[in-house]
Amino acid sequence: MSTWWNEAVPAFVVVGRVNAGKSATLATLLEVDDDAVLRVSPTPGETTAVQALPVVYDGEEWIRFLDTPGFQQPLEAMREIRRLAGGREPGLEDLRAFVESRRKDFPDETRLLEPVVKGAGVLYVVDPAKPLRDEFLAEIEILRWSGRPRLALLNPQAESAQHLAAWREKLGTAFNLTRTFDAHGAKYEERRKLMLALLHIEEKHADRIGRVLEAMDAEWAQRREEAAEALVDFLEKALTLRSSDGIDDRDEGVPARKERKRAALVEEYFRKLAELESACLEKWLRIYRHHLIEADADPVRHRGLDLATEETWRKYGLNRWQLALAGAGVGAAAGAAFDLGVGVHSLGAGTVVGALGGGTAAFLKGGKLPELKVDFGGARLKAGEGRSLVVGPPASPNFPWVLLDSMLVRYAAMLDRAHGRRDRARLDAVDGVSRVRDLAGGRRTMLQKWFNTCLKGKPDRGLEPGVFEVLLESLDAAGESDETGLSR
Amino acid sequence: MVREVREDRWSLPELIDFELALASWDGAGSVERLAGLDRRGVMKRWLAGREGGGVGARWVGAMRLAGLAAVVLAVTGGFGSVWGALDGSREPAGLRVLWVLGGVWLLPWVLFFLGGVLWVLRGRLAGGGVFAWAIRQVSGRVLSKESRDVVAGLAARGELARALGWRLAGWTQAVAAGFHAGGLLGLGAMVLFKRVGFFWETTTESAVREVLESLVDVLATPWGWAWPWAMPDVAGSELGRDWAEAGLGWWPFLMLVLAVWGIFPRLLLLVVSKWRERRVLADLAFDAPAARRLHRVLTQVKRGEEPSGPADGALVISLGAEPEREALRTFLLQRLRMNASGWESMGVMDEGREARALEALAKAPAGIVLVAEAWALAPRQMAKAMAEVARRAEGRRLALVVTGQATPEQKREWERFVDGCRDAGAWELWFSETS
Repeated sequence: MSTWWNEAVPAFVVVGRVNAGKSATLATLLEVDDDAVLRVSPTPGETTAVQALPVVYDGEEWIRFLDTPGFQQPLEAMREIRRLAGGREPGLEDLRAFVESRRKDFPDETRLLEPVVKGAGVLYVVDPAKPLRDEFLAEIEILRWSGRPRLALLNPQAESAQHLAAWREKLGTAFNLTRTFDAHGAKYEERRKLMLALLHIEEKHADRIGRVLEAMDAEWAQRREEAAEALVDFLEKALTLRSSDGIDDRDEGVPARKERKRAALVEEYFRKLAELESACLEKWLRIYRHHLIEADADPVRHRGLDLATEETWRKYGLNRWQLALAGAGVGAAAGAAFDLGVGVHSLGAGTVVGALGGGTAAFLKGGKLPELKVDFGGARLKAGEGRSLVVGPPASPNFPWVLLDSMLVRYAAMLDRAHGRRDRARLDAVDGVSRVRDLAGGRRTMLQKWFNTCLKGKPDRGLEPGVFEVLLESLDAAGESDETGLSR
Repeated sequence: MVREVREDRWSLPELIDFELALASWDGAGSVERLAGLDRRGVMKRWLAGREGGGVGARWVGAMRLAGLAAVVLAVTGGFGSVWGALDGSREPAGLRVLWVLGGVWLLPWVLFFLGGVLWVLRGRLAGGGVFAWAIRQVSGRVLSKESRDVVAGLAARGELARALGWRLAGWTQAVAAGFHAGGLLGLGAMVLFKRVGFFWETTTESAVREVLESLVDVLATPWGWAWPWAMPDVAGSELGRDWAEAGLGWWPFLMLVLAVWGIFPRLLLLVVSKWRERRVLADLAFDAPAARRLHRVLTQVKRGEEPSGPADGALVISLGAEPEREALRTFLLQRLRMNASGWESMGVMDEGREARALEALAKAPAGIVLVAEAWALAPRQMAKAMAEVARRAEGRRLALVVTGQATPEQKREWERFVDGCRDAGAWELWFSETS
């Protein structure tokens, strides 16, 4: 009894020519980027035997996919099956006879056809960049003879679309459906569409495939929520972060000593910030099942290449007018509270003054270079012990926006990475475009209010649910775009 | 105690129970995923499945008792306030209308306005933190542990605070309505059971008279045009010679003021508070961080373990020289259909490596491959290695791969050798040109 077959569970066998991307397709579809579980490599013939990949949710196996070795001698196999059919149109019984009697001569073909004979639906993976040779026609013919539900997947491994029309025409005659699925670039929506296509070709098991789709959606929504939780947590910790140390009375009068202490605290501040960033990114990678991407939050890079360069501050975060508007929104809200408090006897002056003050301050500060706040005159320690020296966060009101932007860029890059790829990559924010600038004004004002409370060291818990919703939407939007922010 | 589930509606006692249960939640989810329910339904189902509860009902019951007691007190207070405005030293006894208007009708509204201002400015007033600290200290000494938990829950959860806030606002309006009603009763009792007159007096006559006349005109707007007898003679009722006769129009006026501008709007605000409380309970989002975490745990899709991986892993044991792994791996994959999952060596100086190679045999599900160089056939050593491996093979596939450019003579020698080693297991012999 084979270990990969289970009569009670609907199965779909992934077949195709050697190196057509069968394993990569499955790796992306099922989010497996571990070679110990599913091997993907450019070496032809990497898959040597049928491997079962069960889709298990909530303790129950709903469907399973079967990865198979590729066709190596399709023309000879086709001729042999025809010979077994004895002049009539071959059918499933002839394939069965072929599988049972020709294992020695056709080890790969019999292995890949065995699940088909047993009752599995067929996912035929082809690379439409390749010309439609007779060998492919033989594969298509053999699979057609099986009479099983069949879905053809065009997995383009090169840009060329020269043969695409020929492929589509031929596959259209022999398969129930034809879909494009880039195994090295497909995102969640494409994976979902592929699963939906299975539902269309295999109505007999619609309930089970439907459950898989429902579980996929629930899991995806859940991941997004977890990612947003991690982001809220990161932003709160990063914005309330300070580095502090005592500066004694003797040091207070010596500028060099003060400067040395300040430099040490600045370094510590950036190290801690990088650790927070790294923790958030690693959590995201765990949530989205990525093992080959590394979180890049090197404090040296962070300080030397990111926050300290003007370019970063130009590229990410809000522009000055947007900052001014967000500041005006927050100021106006505070002023409106004053107006209400005095029974609107101020005739709205509080709102106007608040908006003007908040907007102007944000506009003026928004153009400043991102220097860290340094408080030399912090709280006085015990008698004779001097004062506490507090460093951080950067004085620019754009700091929270730059942080948020860099995280959104990396989130988009992570979601853009398919699990079928086996190269290692780094999650950095070198490439990418600002996302916070596309936020609606009301959303920006809400975030700005919350950022302000965090920067003051007292995050407003009442605003947190609203902030969470905004960040959830931002992650959603980031996940839908195409991003190329990964470095190798 | 397992409660019946009504997933469409939440009540205030249930919300209090939920917040308390959430505060003591240990992070464990239900065995079965709660699918197909909205967030309120999921939370309700979770609450229903928990033992205990009932704190919310006790709290709301206590609030009701306290509220009713406050209403009774307010009625008494209103009644007493009217009696307090009575000047019994005169003949007939005279009721100070300014006291009644100011103390029984206006004062509760001033308090309402001040409460509104404090609510708008909550969290923004300097010293507010001290006030909250004082409340915590007092509640810490006065309340029981479960009540303190509810107070702590209030501070942390906006939705419970909002619902409870509207409930308290409703009771506040009921108390104020009771105060106005007490005043109305007191006034009625005075008119029915005592002979009283109505007057006003002040040190700034003309100014107060103008204000009072304007106020009377405004307050009597709803009925003044229809019931002129319910309009007081402000000038005539000023404390003087004829005040007792001229002031008779005040009693219907004051009663109508307390009813129309006191009890009625308070009842209206009471209804609004009830409606707002219902809206809060109907629109519960459960979006606080702890509630979000609970929801995720209860609705979490649990994906199965990763599959065990391909079962074509083979252990490659080289005898002597180190083979070129990548080339040999491809050869093994494409020709033998075996995947090199481990690399070990035998026939080397390091005895530890030999021991490790023999131990690693257990990790190769598909088979074992011995690799030897074409020129290096040492029959005794080779036979010993093959026998050693075969003894541990337990039915797995055995292959001997000869690498390097083997001459036809060398190939024949290897074939003869393997044919002669049938007692050392069923070995396949392969020649690979990889070095």
